Amino acid sequence: MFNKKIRNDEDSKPIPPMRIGEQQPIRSKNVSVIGPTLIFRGELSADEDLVIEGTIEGTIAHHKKNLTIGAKGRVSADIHASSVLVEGQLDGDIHSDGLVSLAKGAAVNGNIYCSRLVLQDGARFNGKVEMAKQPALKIAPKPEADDDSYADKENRSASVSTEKRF
Amino acid sequence: MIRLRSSAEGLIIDGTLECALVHHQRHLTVSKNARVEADLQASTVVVFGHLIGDIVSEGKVLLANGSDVRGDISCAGLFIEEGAQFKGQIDMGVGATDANVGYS
Repeated sequence: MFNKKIRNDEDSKPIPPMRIGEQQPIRSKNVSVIGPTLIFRGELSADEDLVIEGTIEGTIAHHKKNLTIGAKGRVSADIHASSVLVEGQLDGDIHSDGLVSLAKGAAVNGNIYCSRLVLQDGARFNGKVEMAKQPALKIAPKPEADDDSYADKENRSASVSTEKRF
Repeated sequence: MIRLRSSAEGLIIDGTLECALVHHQRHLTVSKNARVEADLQASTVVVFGHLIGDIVSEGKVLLANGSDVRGDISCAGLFIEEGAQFKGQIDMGVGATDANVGYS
């Protein structure tokens, strides 16, 4: 009984929202959770933090907010979100203007377009990464010049697939 | 100007290096001030500095905070720290622990 009381106290504590750079699942109060038994097909859009533990097929438009694909989440969708944390499986591209984190146990097939990327040991990823230069560190180069210099590189390494999705 | 330091643990590249391929059986490190234009092949690769080239590793690859890598990475395990800049293709094979990774 005493132990139960302690647990209740812990549960009632407000859970702080995810800070940028923190490798924790989003568990703030204004968060929607798509449960493990839920299967959704279509275009999903939301204006609040979202945790996906279920199955999503389609597209996820989730600008300005945080998106977490939980360990049980199975997502086949292109994702647009402010910051993305993947702990489960994702087939699709990630478009983010913030931090993208692939945690241990994550399996991602697709391309990632972001400004910051953290890939933890144990995460599996196959695809292309394009990181926009951070203005605080360096002045961003012109996109055209950037692409040209990389095109030479792609031609040289013909043994690696350079198929672009876009 | 290039400095190569070889130790029992592996090879450390420090300085500017342009060549086709740097191969080491065990461990390759691109140090913080290094600017390397070359493909790297080693069991494990750690990049702190600037690299333009592909990385092929049977083991693990680490892109540390402050590193800037342009090229394709083929490895069994990859760790990218926050603050690392990367542009290219990543191929981690079918299984993360599978060592059967390399140019095909």
